[in-house]
Amino acid sequence: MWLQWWIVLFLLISGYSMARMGPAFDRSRFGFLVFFAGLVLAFLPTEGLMSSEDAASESLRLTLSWAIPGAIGLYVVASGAPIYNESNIFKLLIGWSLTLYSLRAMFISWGPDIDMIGKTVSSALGVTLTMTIYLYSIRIAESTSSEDSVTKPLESDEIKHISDILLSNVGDMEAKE
Amino acid sequence: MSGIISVFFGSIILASMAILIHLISAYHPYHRPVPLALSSLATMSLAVLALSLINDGLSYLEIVRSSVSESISSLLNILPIIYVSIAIILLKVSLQNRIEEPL
Repeated sequence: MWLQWWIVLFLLISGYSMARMGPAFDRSRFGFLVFFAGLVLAFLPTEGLMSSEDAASESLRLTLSWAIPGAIGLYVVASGAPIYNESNIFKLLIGWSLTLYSLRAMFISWGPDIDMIGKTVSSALGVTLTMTIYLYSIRIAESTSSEDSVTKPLESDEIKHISDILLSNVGDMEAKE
Repeated sequence: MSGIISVFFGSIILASMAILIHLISAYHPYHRPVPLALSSLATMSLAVLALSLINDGLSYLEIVRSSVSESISSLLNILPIIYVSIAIILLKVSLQNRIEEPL
């Protein structure tokens, strides 16, 4: 069903958005799961697609086939790279093996031509234009927002809670001195 | 030429859709998403309208499906450049050692 292809896109974008909300929001815990569900669904066969959707679906699968090991490889390399002149050789070897494998797979599947470059530049311009409009919208929305009202004073239980934290920290500092 | 124009408007629709999905998924009470959602909807509608003028005889749904999927294919072609750039930066980081500075 062609809708599956669009659900994949929705899950990938939605999962990423939820994951980057940060630990202050419970929803962020499910971000990775939603993103992963999108990835799994992307590899399942889809029927009833238009020719352009079929091409995009195939292109996404090809990209993911090298991008997933590549992303893992780069992450492992980054975690094994020298910090204060100490590097983890094992992590570097594993990471660079994965990265080289994905680079090889990428160059096999990637064949740029003039038509493709033209379309890529055009699509990048479209995304840039939309993001510029979005950023200006944020600016306008922020500039027209009403000022926050005066914050209410703390309630007695809040004062007690904060006092306890401060006293506990001051006590720790004095004990260290 | 029409392919390039179709991809341009398709990527505008795709980016607007991504912004709308992001605003819905990452909604929280300290955020005012309505002006941003309205601007994204307006941008997307204008792009669909522009594409409908180019593609006669196709429904709005078909226009969106074909142009957005074409733009996805095109945008995926940028990923190898980004990937190689990150790999080069990490190669430099993996090889270089900081010179020890006596304090």
